[in-house]
Amino acid sequence: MMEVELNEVISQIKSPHLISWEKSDGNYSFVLKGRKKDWNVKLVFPTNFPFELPKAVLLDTDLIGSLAHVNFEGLICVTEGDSLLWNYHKPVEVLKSLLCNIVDLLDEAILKVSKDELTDEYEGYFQCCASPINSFYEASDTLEYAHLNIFQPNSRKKKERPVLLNNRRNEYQDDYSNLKKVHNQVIKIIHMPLSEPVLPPKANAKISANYVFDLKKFLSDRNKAKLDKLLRKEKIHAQFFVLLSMPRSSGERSQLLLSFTAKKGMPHPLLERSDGWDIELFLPARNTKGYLLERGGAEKSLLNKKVAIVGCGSVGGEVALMLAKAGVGELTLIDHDLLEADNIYRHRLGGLSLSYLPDKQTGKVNTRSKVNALASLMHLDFPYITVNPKRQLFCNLTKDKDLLSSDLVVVAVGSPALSLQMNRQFKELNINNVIFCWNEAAGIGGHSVLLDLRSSCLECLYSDDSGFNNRCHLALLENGQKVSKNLTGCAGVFTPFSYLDSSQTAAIASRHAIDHLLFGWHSKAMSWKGENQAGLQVTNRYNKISLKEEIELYREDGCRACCG
Amino acid sequence: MATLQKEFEDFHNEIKLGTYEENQALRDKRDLLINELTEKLKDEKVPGTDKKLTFTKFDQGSYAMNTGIKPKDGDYDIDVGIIFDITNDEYDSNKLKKLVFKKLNGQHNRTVIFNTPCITVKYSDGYHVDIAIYSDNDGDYHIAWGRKDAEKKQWYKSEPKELKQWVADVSADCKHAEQFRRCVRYLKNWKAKKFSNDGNAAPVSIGLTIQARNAFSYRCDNDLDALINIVSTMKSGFSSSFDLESVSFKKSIEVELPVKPFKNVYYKMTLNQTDQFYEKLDALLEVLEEAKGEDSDHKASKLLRKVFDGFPLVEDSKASNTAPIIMTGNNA
Repeated sequence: MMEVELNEVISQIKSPHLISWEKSDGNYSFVLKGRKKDWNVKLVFPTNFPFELPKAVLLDTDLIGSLAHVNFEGLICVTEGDSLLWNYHKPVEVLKSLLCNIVDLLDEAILKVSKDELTDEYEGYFQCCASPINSFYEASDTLEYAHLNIFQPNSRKKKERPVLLNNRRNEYQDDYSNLKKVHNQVIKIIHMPLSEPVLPPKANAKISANYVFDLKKFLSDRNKAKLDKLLRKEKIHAQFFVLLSMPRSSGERSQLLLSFTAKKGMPHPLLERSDGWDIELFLPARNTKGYLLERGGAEKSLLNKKVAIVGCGSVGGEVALMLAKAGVGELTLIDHDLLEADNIYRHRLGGLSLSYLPDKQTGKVNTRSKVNALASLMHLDFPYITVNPKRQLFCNLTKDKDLLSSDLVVVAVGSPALSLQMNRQFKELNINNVIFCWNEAAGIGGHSVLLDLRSSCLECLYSDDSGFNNRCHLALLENGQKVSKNLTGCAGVFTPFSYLDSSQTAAIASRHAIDHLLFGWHSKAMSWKGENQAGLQVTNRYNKISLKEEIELYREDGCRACCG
Repeated sequence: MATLQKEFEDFHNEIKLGTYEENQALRDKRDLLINELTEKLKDEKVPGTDKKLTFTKFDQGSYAMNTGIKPKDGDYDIDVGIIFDITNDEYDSNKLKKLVFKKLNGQHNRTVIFNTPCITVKYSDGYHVDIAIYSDNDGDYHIAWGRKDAEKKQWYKSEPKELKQWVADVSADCKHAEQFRRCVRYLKNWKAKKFSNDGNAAPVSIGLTIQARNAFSYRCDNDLDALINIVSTMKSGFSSSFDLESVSFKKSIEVELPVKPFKNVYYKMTLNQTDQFYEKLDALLEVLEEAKGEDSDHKASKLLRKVFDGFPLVEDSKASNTAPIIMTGNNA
């Protein structure tokens, strides 16, 4: 929007909150009427307003550091968030509403009861002037050493830079992170856990060494004694790091890593007061288990659940990854197959997981198994997961303790005959919570069947009053059609379906798995259907159902697996 | 000017815990334990005599006073007093408490704890029963006070029934008494939201009940006003004390039990804790007064949600699809 147009828009705003406005340095300052006081606020307009909203900055700097939702730079958190929608056709109304929202937010923020919100936002307050630092450190209320990987510059005149915070030396970083490739040193730094939350320095002041020194009074007696003990060991240095933490109302702790640097060596800043320190702030980017799960939308209670997946092809492999992303803590992967180049367009694993390297002794290229390749990928992708890869046929694993102790078994072998055989074996092994999932050919659809085998079973879907019937009740394609293809002769026969089909089937199976693990649901079948582009002969069910359908499952009286 | 009376009453219905009469499950749990104790004490005698050791029970605490709220963590608290038909001289208070402890201890599904004012029986399925032990002492009740190995352990004068009656006597008019009980429940909800469970950081519930009873004055169809009056009176009950450690003035409070032994109910709180209590009360009063002065019910309800857990949000009459800026919740 042109400047002239913007002036015109602002001059049209009529609001009971608006006392006056003026233009200065290309921005617009407003005096707004609040419940208890008038607010001085600046709006910084982006060039593409009204498609982007202006940033609001509080000009009452004496209040910065005392108000929730206003950061160190005075930025008012009123237009943040991805999910806002505004009517860009009506910029006057949008600005009027924005000013009203600003006043509401500030009027609430000045209430004493909002102090908790400000202390909860301690990290957010400093985010604008702090650099991120990765952290696996679980900050508790105990004063202790945290381990800090630091990058040492070539020149001694330059400051050391923090790289990673850890509970113990090198914990997690070797397996999961790529940090081992970088030369760095690990030092011990003091974690100073305050027993109650504190406010940032008042009136927009920076964090000073004196401010930090005074925070010692918020340590518990036990932590004070521990601090004295640790400080006695500290020698004179020109750089120190201190990790500050304090409780938040939700139970997590706010954390801030402080780097103290001075021109010459001095005693530790917590040992002696000094104005001679420059302080740089770092905000820990949490890589801790609980935080990553919650932030990523996973479910913490799934961490102690165990799921076995039999068949790790394109559906099972995708289910494995989806369950890992959902937060399931332990996966047992069972499949005898090797990962071939043929697989990479429809399997979750792509070319990165293929091996072309010959064995150093024999010269033979060792093809990787699907389960080992999946396990490697998961260990790289998730720091807190246990994966048990078993490159075995299912029939050899009926006494396997990982299988038998699973909360749920997902079968994604594709073959209906093999699935029915497993259905019987599970009953014999007293494994009752089972999902069978499979695609139908040519993108016509897919199914997930969530069972408690004590109530009904897979064979019930193949049975009627008179006993076994080789037509599945869920089928979308008529039996007996030639749907397989081969490109290279009999050894290359395959059923056509794509990664999109497999991931749709995996998505409904994974949803079933989560519903079972969290809520104990069972005896449900979910099907999805796609377009019949290949012109195959479809069942009545295909014609009747909508794009997705869930049905309840019941024991079929004629099922010989259930009723002998 | 908002009153939000309907929202306050809806909120009250959500948080209130019924009396024993309304809660069969809790009543059953209480009765089961009392019957077990009767059975296990049936062969006990008053020391040095042939007199059987017998007791009667009565309900005390917030169930009995009808001021209970549903616990956030599902840990239901049942308070029951048992009055032994003995004089103080006939049975040592600590020995009798130990006997009750011993008789109830040793069951696999529960833990028995010897607390200062009572024996607590904690069950694994999320509730506990506090049993206070009294001597009848010819109608002059005394409570067995003190931990198992505490130096001070003796029969203390106590008037639990009189306390219950004092709270019930807030008003002869049941509309007034109901508003009082609602206000006590609002205060307890505020306490659960704003105070930590650690140690004595939170004011004891009986303290809030007594303060509310002392300050209560009926406001027709206006719980908000009644609460403002209570909180404002509570706040004015604090005085300033000089704290040597921080070299500053801090707020302290003493509230006397209205029956014998007339002790300060907040005696366990430190000066820092009473100071925090004051700060939080002050912040509560500010919110209540701001809510009262608010023209928009939506905004008033938003304010009240800052101090009350689960207070209903009044729909924003301005929020609609025609509002210039809306929150959609979309993401990718």
